[in-house]
Amino acid sequence: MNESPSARHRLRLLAAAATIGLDRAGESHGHPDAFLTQAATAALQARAGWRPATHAGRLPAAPTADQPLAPAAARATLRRLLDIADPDLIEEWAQLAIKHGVRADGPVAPVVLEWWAEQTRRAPAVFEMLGRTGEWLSTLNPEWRRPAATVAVPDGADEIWAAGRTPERIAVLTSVRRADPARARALVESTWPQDGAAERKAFLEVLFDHRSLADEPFLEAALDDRSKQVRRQAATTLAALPGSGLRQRMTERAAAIIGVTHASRGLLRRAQPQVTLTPPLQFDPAWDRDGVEERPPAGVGPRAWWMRQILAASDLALWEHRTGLDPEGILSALQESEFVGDARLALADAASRAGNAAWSLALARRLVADTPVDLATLSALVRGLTSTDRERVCLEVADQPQLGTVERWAVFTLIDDEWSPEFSRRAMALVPRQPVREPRDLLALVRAADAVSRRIAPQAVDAFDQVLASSTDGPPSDSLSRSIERVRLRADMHKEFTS
Amino acid sequence: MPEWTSERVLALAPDPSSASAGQSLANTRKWSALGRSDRAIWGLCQGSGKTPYQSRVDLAEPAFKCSCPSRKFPCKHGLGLLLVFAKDAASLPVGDEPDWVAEWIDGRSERAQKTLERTAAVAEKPVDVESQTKRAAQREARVRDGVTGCRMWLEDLVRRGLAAAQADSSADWERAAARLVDAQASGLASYVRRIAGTVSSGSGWDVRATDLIGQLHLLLCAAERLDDLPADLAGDVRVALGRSQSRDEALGSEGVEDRWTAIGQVIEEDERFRVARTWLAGHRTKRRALILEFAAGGQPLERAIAAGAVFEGELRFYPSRLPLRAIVAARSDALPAPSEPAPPLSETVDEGLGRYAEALASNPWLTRWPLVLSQARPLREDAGWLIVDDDDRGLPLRGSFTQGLQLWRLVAATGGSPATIVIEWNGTSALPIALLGGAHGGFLDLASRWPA
Repeated sequence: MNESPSARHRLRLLAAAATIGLDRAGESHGHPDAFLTQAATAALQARAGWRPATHAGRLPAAPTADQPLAPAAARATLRRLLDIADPDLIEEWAQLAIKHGVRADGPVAPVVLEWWAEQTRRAPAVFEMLGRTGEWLSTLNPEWRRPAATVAVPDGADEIWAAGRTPERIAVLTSVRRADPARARALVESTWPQDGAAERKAFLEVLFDHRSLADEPFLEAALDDRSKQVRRQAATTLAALPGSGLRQRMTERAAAIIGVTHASRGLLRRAQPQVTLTPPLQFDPAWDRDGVEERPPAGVGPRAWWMRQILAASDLALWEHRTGLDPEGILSALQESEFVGDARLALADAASRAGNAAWSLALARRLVADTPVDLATLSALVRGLTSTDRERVCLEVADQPQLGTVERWAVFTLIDDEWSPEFSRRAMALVPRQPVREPRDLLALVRAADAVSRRIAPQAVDAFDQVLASSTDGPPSDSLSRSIERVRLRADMHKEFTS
Repeated sequence: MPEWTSERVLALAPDPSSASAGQSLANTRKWSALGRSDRAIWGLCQGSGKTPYQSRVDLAEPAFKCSCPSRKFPCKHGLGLLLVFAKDAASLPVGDEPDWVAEWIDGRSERAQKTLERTAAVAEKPVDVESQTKRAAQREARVRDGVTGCRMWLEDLVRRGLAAAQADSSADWERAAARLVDAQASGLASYVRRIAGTVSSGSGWDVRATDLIGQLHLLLCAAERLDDLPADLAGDVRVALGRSQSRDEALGSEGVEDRWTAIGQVIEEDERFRVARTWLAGHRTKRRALILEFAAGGQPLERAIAAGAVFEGELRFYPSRLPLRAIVAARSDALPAPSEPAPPLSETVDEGLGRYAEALASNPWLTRWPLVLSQARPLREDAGWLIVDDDDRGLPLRGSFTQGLQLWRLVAATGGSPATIVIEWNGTSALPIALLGGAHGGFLDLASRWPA
């Protein structure tokens, strides 16, 4: 038999002739039959005589020491989660694996990484649960590398900042800001005069996180930026920075609005302060620099609008200082004011920004007394709280007697991270065991149950099941069953890691 | 019989969604009237209809039967039932089999018995020689017409040139193929379709197409002088032309007893049917065997042998100059798969290619051949991915494999270190189908999404 390279070579020559066709390739190949016989011989010889070349290389070795594997049952569950591609459940699995110091197995790692790389929100835990095997695979396949923002400051950050495109610069800035806030500010300042308005605003948004008074001189200067969107973003950050000059200025303006009278009625009654609100009569052009918008949105009076913005950016301590009352007392004292609604919205804004539990709770109670409940404001209020305070507020709100089943569910969905077992138990106890019949309410119930099924502590699975079972007349609908199944699956998953 | 584990049960699932659905039924609350005997388990599962589904599993095979309308096999109820059993056998009380269980199992045993009797009877079966000869002659005549037509088509193709044929519509190609199907030469039709698929397959397409053209020419030459060929070779040519083989032909051959390992399983699907190729390797005889299973349309494949399974059994090979395709005439229960691959099964790249060349000499139309490469590792070079053995001999990996996640599962499972890798070799590129041993340990099915 001929040497294979020549058979392969002959096959390539024949292929060239076959491509243009024998009619054009000329007589050298003879009759088609002779040509085909040559092709058959070359093809067979090439396949039978193929000789492998020598390749001495090796892939970089996988890490030999890695975390122990998760229990087999848990690993089987992970495969199932990847089949249904549920991001919440996959992330929960990852958190459990990290908590127990175990990892997913090697063969599943590429499926995890492929899925992870497609997600817009790439939870770092999902990458971490693969252990060092995951790191190793991502060095072999660049598509699976962690995005810059989730890792330590990349090498060459300064070069990327100086020469990169905007999304890359934002990613670098985000990671630098996390590691070294002052360096991030210095980066922004270094190119500030050359960057466009949209970029400047985007960079200021990155600087919102990890802000401190060290940023103030730079931000204060940005209040005089030539672009309005940059000025507004600088004002937003300064307003959220306790002790900033902007906040002090706003607090002084607020002091002119809040009036307190200590009216004494009779000898036996204690002096009860009354709070009056006097919104500004005119717009002071100096306010604009501090981010106060002059033109109100539709439906809001200009004076109330200016007041709202000033109160929202000032220190809450001012109120307690001026009145000597606690938040509950202040809100009671405001009850008679013509501007009570605007004041509450402003206070809710300030309280959620400050994460002030006492104010948030007091405001949440007032909001619940209103019908219909302003869930958007309530949601903003609870978001700023620690998880313990948040759960306390939600339980108290949901316990209000005038709330119906669907409204209670809606309150629970305000807690969008993992529920504590205690909260899960008490929340389920607060839902009336009675059927929901209105189609619109049923739809809301299905949505709420889906959200809750991702957060509720798995220990409360039976209570969750019972509550949903009693909420419909017949057997639970498919979507409700799916929510119940999800909690059961999570309960199993938690057990699988401990067995 | 090894103990049932959830992993083992899920390996039987026909697809990921069935595995997932089965797991959601792996809960005693979903079942009523659960029970088990020494050979079967059963239970009732409430579906969307009024009557609950009767689901039962014959533990010996295992085999499944369920009254649900699902076309998946096994269905989610069967998987769920077996998962309940795997999790906690005690949740199925031991009891008498209801009629709907006992009748089915008894029927199965009877059918199994009949197959055995048929095996014995084939040798002595009286044959209507005259009508059989007549049918065969009619068929041969038709196939000969097909061969003539195909010859003309092929010569026309190389005269016009492949570049010109690239512009032909898929309907043109399909018409040529359909004529050959009508002439009962589906093997020729399949060559036409493969050439059609090659002419627009990107870089190197011209060599691949010329390779196929050469193979087709060789087949046509053999078909034209069928009467001059030795009987066994003529038989192989008829099969390559498209004659379908009946089970009885294999049953008539002598049995080969051995301990067999299912070294890999590939399922291919096109719009017409699904094929499961299961490669077996004999531990003592060192023989290779191929079990083919076809399912038309959306019908499920039974896949009686799971990838990685080890069993003692008797194979009967279809007559051929290179007996490869076989049926399982008798088999033991699955034996526990060894954690280390049996050494006699594996080979180096050079040894494997040598066996492939010998196999080609017997059957030049062989399209794929299994290699069990010991101490092999995946390797990336600028030109692409390879499988390289301990002597640093490398086989290029098939492009379709390296573009998908399968490559990464192989890389992750080996950790870049040597392992026993089973591949299908087609003369130019390697398709890894399974991994034995390695960092992962045990058998890893690379042809399915999840390791079994």
